[in-house]
Amino acid sequence: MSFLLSCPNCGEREVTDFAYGGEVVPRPSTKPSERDLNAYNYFRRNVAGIQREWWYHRSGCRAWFLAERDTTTNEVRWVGLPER
Amino acid sequence: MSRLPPNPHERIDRGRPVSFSFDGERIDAFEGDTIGSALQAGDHRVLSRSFKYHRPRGLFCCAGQCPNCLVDVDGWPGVRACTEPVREGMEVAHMNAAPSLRFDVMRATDIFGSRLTPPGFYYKTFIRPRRLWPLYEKVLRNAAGLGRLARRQAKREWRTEYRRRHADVLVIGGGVAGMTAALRAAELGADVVLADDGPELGGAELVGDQAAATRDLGLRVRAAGVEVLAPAAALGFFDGIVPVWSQSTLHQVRAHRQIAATGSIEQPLMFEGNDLPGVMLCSGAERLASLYGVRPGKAAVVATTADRGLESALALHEAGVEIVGVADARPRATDEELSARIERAHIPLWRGSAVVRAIGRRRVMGAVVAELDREGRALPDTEHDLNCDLVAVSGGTIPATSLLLQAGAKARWDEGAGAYVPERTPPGIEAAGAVAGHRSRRQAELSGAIAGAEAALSLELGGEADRSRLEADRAALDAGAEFTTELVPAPAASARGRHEKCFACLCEDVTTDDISYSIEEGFDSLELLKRYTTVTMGPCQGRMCQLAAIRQTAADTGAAVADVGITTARPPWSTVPMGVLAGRPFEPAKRSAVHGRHRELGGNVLWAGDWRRPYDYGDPKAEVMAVHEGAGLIDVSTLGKLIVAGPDAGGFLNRLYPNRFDNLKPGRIRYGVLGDDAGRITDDGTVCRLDDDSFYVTTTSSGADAVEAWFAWWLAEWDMDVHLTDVSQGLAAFNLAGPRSREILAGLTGLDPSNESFSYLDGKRTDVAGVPCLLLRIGFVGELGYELHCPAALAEHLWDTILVAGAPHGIRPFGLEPQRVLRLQKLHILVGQDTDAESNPLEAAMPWIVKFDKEEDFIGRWALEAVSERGMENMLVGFTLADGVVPNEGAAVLADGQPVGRVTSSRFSPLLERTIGMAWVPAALAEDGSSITLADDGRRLRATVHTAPFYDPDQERLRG
Amino acid sequence: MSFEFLAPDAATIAEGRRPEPRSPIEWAHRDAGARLEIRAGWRVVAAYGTARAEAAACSSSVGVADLSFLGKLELQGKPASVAAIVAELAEGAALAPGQATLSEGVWWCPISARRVLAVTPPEATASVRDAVEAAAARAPEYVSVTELTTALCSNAVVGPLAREALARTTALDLRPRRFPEAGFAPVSVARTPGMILRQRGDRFLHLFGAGYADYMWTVFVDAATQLGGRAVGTEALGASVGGKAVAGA
Repeated sequence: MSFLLSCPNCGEREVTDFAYGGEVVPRPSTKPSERDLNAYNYFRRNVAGIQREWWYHRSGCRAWFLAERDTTTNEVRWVGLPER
Repeated sequence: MSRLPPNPHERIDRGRPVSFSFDGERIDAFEGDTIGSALQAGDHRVLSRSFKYHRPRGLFCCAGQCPNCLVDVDGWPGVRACTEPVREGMEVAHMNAAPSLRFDVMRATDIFGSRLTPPGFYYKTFIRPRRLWPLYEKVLRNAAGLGRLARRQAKREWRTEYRRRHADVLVIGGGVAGMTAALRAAELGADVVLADDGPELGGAELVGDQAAATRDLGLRVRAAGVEVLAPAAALGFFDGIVPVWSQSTLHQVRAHRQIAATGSIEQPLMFEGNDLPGVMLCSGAERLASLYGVRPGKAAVVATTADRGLESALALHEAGVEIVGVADARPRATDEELSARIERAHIPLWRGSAVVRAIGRRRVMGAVVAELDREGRALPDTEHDLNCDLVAVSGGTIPATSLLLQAGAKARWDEGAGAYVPERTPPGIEAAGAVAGHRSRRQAELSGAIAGAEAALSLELGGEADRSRLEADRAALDAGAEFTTELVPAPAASARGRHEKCFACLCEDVTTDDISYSIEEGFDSLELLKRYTTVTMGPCQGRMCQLAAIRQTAADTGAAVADVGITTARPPWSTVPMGVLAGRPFEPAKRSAVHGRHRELGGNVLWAGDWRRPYDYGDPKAEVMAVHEGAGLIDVSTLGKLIVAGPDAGGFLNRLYPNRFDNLKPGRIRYGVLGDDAGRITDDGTVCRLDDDSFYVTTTSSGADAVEAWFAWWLAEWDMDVHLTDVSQGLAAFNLAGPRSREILAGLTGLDPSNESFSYLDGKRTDVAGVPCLLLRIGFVGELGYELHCPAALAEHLWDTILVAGAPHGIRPFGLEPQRVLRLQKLHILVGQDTDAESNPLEAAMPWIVKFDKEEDFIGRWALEAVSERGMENMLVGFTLADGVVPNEGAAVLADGQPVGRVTSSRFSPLLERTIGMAWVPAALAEDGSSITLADDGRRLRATVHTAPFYDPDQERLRG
Repeated sequence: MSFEFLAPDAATIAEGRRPEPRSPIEWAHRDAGARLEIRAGWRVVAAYGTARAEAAACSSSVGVADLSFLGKLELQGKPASVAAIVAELAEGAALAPGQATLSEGVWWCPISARRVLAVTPPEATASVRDAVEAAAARAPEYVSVTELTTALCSNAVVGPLAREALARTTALDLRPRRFPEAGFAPVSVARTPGMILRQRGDRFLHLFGAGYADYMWTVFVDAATQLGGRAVGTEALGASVGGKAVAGA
């Protein structure tokens, strides 16, 4: 893998400059059932297609950002900082 | 000597002799020769022995595309003699033959053993009896492979490196199309890299009367500012990066546009003995004659299925090679003028005929030519033997599509071309020249100019005039479009029956019979056939054999060639040493600011995570005792250090840690354990509140980056006004510990270090020996101690001063190993050593740190509540062993003979004079005095559970 | 409690002597025969051999110099606050991504809209820090200022082959069209997080975690040597450490 990923702060870098944070799984806002807690901790959808996911610019600005990537082609459709 | 008279196109300089050795024999050559041309000139026709049958092989393609001339050069195996330039004094040796190239005992496999060695014999033969496999393996490994690596590590290591090259345009292939493309793109202002794998730019057009114009084009390319990488092989496409190997450098070229001008590959013909030295591709024979002035043979039979062979026959004739005759498999040539010229030169032309056998054992002595029937079989009465020492063959040419296919293009069978041709090249990649079917020089120039201009224009270079010229070029190329129809050649079989092998694959010694045999066995799809016979898997990567395998699969299975398909194109397209792929070894290591002092003090420096740290300074026991009795100084600069600041900093830490931080008073310290939402312990450390808004958070040495990332991640999710700054590498930190540490400190600072004004878990800002420090009174090692955090640039001064001031108090520097003993005496955990991916703070015997009564949510709360509700299953406890045996870390804890836990830490404590350790045990056994059994290296050891710290359980020394 | 324990210039006189800050790999420089001098309070490598030979490397191939004494300050806060402070202190400069601003010898380097790194000549570090802290205190929102002088080391990579030396360690596109003067990029260098600032022409400043100082020095001196260059002292850079030239133009 050596595709390019665009950091919202820094611009294009080799993907090896980043750490992958996995698909976005929102943390439950209130205490979940044990089943829901396990689903949140361990279950992932692992889609073949467009996935919303976390990336960390480990070797650069050290910011986390979101990306929408096609997991079958590694084409990144969108990147952005999380809304704050 | 087999030199021809000088010709104006040759690239050798007959005025500059060069000599080298081949298997110890002196070889005289000229500057500009390759090893292969020089050996041919010296009448060395056998250059190697084949992979499986150890058959003699000689020059075949003379273009770096086949396996026949692989030699060892100065201890380097796998060098292609036909493209490697000669150097004075180089030592060239054959590779795959013993005792000599002339007499190779393994040839026996060819002469006697070929019936016993069909495809798959390896799997079929050596499976029984199974106990003999180790012996088989040893013998087979010895027999397998081609070259030999140097035995001594130093001799087989050499320096390689990666070089990143960004470019606007990368052109792969330095023939006329590639050079024209590069030149055009550069003229329009693009930053262009051109990679070519030949010994000289020019490709096929170096041979023939246009050679001067081709060389001139090369000069213009360089003059236009194109960076020419040559000789340099492009290895593949990797998400936009094309690695190009040149000598000891792997250029990783990332270009906005790529132009593949990879040319075409002349194909061999299938007949018996088609691998004998003296059977050569027409283009190879022409190269030898034209570029190197070397006679490829005295008398040649030319066999062809395409006009290329006719052109070659004329060229060789002109160069002074006697042409015995030309066997053209077709009833008539595409360009009948060529046939006419052959006849005018009084060269016999046998139409509808083919060479069906090359005669000779070690080299070509003759050839059998026969007329063919409609199915391509030889007609019995027409066979006649001819004397010759060269059989020049041409099965037409196929486009070199591999790199385009790797980049995402598709392959389509083209009946007219008789080959798979590329189509639907992905965006950003263009094909130019012969690979795109534009074979004539004029077409190559036009398609190159078009590709170069398109690439530059797509980068918004160039102007209106360039656009117009592009349109004109396109029109000209369309107008001149021509498709040469090539006959599809089938293997020509002699009517007299098979006497000799007919090779489809020269690299792996796969015969046409082997392919038929495998198809009969059921391996009747090309991908299966490839894996079973290894056809296309050798050094030529299918250049010489893929089409032959496709055609025979089609013939044997009755499928259409278009339906057989091709195998997936994969890197590397050219053979490349592993060392080049490895590149330069980058091994990032962190070192503390006082690393120089550790070296001077004789520190035993080893890896600790990504740090280089002293494990001890020669006497770990004495270092332990110094900390107990006087003072010790350990460099803990490796600790992760984060500043967490902002109005919401306290609340932020409250959410991350299971205990409270918002109520921590400035100047006070609290221990914290970090976990995730599954309740697992991920890191630990101390947190000192500096002021209302800011906290100084330390982490484990190996966890610094992960904790920063973890904090930053939650910060990205939560709307909190908190700033994180990693100062891990900016601050050195030393732990000054031991009963005398207070006195030492008192002499170096204005601070009152008394227990009343500087108590346990206080953090204070002060100068020590003039160095601004943050002092943390904490005690990982269990004695009175102070962690001094200071700017790394002043650390050497502080370290030196403390050691001098501490000398009267018996201070010693101590390393990681004594620290491990000291902390184990206190049952202080090491995250990752005593905990794993299933450890939570409740079971790790730290229930006091989880504040369920905290009103807000915190990471891991729900999972820890679940643990709390279900009760403890396993507990982390201390244990002691009576007889001084130290079990291995990782030893099993047994109950009723079954493993139920494991030892995580164990050491001999010189102070306590017994073995101490930590282990995970079932909760029922987690009581003082419980007896547990350890299984360690076949031994059974009895140990006693101990839940309180082994040393100073009431913390009198620590807090005193 | 202040963050003074991060600032090497906060050293005080003890036993009649003020400890001088030094590079974390001063031992390696000493082993290489470096001649050390005190400049702006720091112990600095003046030269290893002759400054003339080292300057020649910088003008004909590539020289690598340890400039870990450059001051570094990080400013962190909401984008508007950060921008306002930089504008106030850097002659009205507006920060653009990937582009640093040089003002009065100080390089203002935007890591993100929320984070700016100021790189200062050593003698200016304390005064710039005071000014930044004062401006931060006046800001309407919380702005933090962290002293990173010793957290980050900085090597100058100078000379016509500087880009080639960097091309062996980083994937960043350093062609002038893509990375012009004052270009600034946080990026991996030699498999290590870092930042590259193009100060001018063939002069690059590489900033990276100080723990990697020895590793990075080895990597770059080796790369420079392969290209015909060498390690150089500050004298060879043709600028005094006490002047703006070291951090600046």
